[in-house]
Amino acid sequence: MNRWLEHLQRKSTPEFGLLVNWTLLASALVLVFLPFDVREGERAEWPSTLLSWLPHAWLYSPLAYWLCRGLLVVGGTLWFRQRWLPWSCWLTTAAYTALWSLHVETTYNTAHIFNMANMLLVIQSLWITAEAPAIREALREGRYWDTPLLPRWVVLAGIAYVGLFHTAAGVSKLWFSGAAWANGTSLQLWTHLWGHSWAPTTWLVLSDRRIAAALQVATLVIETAGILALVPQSRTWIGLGLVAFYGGVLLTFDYGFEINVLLTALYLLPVERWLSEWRERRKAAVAG
Amino acid sequence: MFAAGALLVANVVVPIAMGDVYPFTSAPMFRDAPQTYCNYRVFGPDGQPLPSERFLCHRIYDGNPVGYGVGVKPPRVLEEFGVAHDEETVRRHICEQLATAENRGYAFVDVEQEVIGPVEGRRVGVVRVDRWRIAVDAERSSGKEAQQP
Repeated sequence: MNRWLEHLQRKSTPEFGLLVNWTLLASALVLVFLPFDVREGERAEWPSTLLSWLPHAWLYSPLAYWLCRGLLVVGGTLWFRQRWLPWSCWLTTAAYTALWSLHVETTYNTAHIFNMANMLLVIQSLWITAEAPAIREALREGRYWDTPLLPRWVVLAGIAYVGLFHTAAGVSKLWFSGAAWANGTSLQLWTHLWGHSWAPTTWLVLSDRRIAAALQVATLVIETAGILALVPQSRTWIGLGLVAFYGGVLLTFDYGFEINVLLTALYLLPVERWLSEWRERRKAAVAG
Repeated sequence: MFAAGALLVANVVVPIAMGDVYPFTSAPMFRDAPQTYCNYRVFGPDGQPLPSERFLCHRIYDGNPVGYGVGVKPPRVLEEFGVAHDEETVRRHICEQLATAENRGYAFVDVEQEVIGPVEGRRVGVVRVDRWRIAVDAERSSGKEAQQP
């Protein structure tokens, strides 16, 4: 147990954490400029976001949208420039959550394109909060890149969340439709309705139900196995499977899962190791 | 570190206990397994197509469970992905829509239901197309009293 806790506390240099932060801030930039379709109608009885308790007028107020956008820009800019840590992280995370929540509260069609980034923002903010004094000191002394500032638990929490997100998707399908979900017809129907007519994946799915069924079986297996990404030996394989799955989805449909695939690739492919090796090579070259 | 652990646990517990409460989600997109779907088209007495939104025949479904994890209840549309409604259900729905203030000017409308599902050769395609003339009452449904709104 102690060895495991020590492993979780072990720190590495912060380049991977910073790459994740920049990716999340890029997704915040996308969110800032996203136009929202506001729908009128009867309110749902059940809370749909953390802001459901707010008065109806506030949720529909243009001022609330612009306030969230403004705070997101201010927080994101400060965080990108490593200023006012950890407050700038939490300002960014709060504004990000509030802005998409306002959209979810005022629509009857939503998409799960920001959930993953939002949760990872929380995890990254927890990191910055836990390490804020050390980060500030390293920045002040100009040794940020060479100081071990990224605890293992931060990376593992991110991997666990990404895995959990996909496992939930797989379990949802099994729970609501059973193994018969993967019979090929449903995928053919979705593709028939929404698939890009120019996409080879659309032709492939529509050409034969057995191919559609095989792709659905693969989806079910790889999504449900997502949480196994916590096991280092299986991480890259699950990452490759999920990235291939997203590749097929993005090629066929117009669903805006680009941020999800980017974050999945960052966490589940060996990007952290590649970055670290690149850094070591660079260090050696400079020393040599 | 423990806060991160609590966050992960919450990501399991909240969707199970409360459903989707953003940013918590069970990622429910495409969790259904439809075996058919329908396109509905509405035509006025002059044979011209009318906006299907006006008769609540449009599609709300976008792959996500309709009305799940959103703040606004969706309108009660006829289109239900995975379901091919029978004639009686279609007539009842359209009659209700003809009775609304917006549509009261139409003596009748023609409604086309295009059913998409499995066809030969392990493909999907149009299974059948039905077209019904629907008026608020039987007398008007003859179409003889057709008039422009």
